[in-house]
Amino acid sequence: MRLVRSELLKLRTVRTTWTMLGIGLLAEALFAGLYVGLVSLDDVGPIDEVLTGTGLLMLMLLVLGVLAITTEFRHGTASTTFLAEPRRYPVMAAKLAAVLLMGVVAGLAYVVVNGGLALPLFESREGSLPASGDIVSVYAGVVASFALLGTFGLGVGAIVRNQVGAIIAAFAFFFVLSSLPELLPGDIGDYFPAQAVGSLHGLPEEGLSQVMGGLVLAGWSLGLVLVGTLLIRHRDLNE
Amino acid sequence: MAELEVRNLTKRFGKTVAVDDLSFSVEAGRVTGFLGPNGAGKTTTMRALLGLVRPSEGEALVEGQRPVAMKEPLRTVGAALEATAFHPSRSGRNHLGVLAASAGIPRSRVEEVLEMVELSGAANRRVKGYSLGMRQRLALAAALLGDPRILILDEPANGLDPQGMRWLRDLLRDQAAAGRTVLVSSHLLSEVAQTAEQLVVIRNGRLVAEASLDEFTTGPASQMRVRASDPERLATALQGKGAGIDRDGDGALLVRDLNGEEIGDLALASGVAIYELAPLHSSLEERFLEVTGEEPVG
Repeated sequence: MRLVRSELLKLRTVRTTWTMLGIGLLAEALFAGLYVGLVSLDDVGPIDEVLTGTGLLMLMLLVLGVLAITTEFRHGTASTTFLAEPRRYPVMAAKLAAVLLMGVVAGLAYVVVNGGLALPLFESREGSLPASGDIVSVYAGVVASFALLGTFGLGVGAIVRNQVGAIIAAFAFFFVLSSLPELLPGDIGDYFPAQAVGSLHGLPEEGLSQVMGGLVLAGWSLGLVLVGTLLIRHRDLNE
Repeated sequence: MAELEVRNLTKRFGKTVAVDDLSFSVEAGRVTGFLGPNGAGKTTTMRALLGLVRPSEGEALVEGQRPVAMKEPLRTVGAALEATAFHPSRSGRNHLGVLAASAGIPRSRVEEVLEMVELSGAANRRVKGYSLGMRQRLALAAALLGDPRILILDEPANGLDPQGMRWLRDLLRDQAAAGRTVLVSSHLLSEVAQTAEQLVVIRNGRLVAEASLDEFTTGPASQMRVRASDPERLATALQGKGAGIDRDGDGALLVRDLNGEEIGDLALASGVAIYELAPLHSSLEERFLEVTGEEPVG
């Protein structure tokens, strides 16, 4: 518990966290307002409408997850961290918990902004709002995806360690790999991270159910964290 | 039992051997200076004692235990490794707060150590704007945070102004006087000479001396200066007993490996009168260069 508090404090006490989440939320508000308020509603499905502008926040969480571990190596604070707790597993577990919590908090903030802005606008333009049960499950999916994307970043960061390299690697999973499934036979593509996020958000065009999408994304994220933790266990800290 | 013990420690990074079969121990109640030229393996040894680096062979023990087995690490060992290991946009106070949180140390202790290192005024500023001396103080504050029984400090005097150096010396002496264990590394002998009672000197990852400061300066390589009525005859006699002989410009002999008594007896036996017989202590700096075989740094 002490370690989790310490990790949360690390996230809270650097400006980057607040700046990135702030920009993400601001962009969300802007997109929701502009897009839902102005653009023709017939082109896309109602769920896509509601989710407008989520992308930037998702990227922010991915990057913040990466930073949660790479800054420790970049600035040499990992030594200090492991002085307070020389065992590596508990430290990584605490980082995981802190990043998950950050994702949930960011997700709830998203729900407040999106629910307070996009939904009323949508309704005022007489769009056919999805059933309220659907909206709740979409929002739940968004919150879960934020938490899992942070975790995904943490895992990639633990494996790559170099900050820039890790951010590029994490992006590659979502931007480069996400276009690959079209070339693949069958429904293998549904199990790629970007597609799993779509499923988790309840987008109808994705192949998996929401729960399945969540499980697949969780599998990716936790799997990466596990690999990263095993690597860090044997790494010497010389910087 | 020694508080810190390094036993046959070897650490290889790829093909480089950073520490090579090194053994020494550090006792409580005095300041131990850990000396060696840059790149001698001091930092790696300290990191092994802190569990940050895994020994390739041998072990590094803290109070008889492997460092990863420590129950309350920050209350056992406080370490200041380098003055640059801070997140630049976190404030000094928050850096200590993060560390305190992870060890369950109360927030009030953060204020105490900030006061001790005289950083309270700058504590809310981001570390980015700190001078090297301020970072060094912050690193020391972090080391003192858990009020630990053992202090391991890597080059803590770097970047400190003369006033800061004196403050540091007093701090180290006080800690040692309170029965704590203090291990301080430096590549500058003069820095350590004023506080350390015990010295561990390494070079190329190997131990070259483990001795008290007095033993170190008056070590076996020190010489006797001898003026005598017939230096040549005395020199022959001394060499017969295995002494090494050098000559200084004034016709005096500089004799190694024999003590004053032995030289006097030999002089009497060979009928040479002695006019002057004086031990020559090498200066600390000379001894250091002698054992490390390096040019002084800095």
